[in-house]
Amino acid sequence: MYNKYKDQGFEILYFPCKQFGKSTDEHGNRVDGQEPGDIATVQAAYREKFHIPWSIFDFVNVNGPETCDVYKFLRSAELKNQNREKNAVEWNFGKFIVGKDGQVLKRYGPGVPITVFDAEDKLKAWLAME
Amino acid sequence: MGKVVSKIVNWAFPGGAGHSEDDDLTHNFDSFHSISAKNADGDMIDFKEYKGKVVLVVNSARM
Repeated sequence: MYNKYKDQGFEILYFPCKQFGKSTDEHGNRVDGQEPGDIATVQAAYREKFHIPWSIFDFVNVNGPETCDVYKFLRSAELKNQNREKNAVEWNFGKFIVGKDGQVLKRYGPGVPITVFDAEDKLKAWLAME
Repeated sequence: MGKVVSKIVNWAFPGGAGHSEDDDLTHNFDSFHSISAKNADGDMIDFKEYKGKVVLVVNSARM
């Protein structure tokens, strides 16, 4: 889908996050988060193993006192399914859609596959907005 | 294991947002395009470069 729409102005930004779950590092040790290793290791895995072409950023906190600026902005948007009391990111692969004007359009949970966005009333409509 | 937990979380929070933990979300950004962040190569990226684009932002993990 990325390749289908990137030339029309669609971007995906990945922000690796160690705040959810646990995993095993390269030494077999249990570690916090499901994104073990340093950022170079993470990026290499995304590029080489998963063939991800889009932008990958440094590790971020999406919840808690060290929430990064990007997620402060995303989580503070007033949306149909997000408000002042209910805005924490609940797990890996939460999804926010930011429009051409830089405002948050939508928020989707981790269980929503990005292929769902390939629809007339979603990505095509968002790309048509000024 | 992670997929099982994820399914439970999705069932519990189908709308995508969890209850906040009194996080201080104070910021002075009037637009996503006012933000900058460090990419995985260590370079600061000014989000002005996403003006006029539709952006999908994902907190990712491999496991």
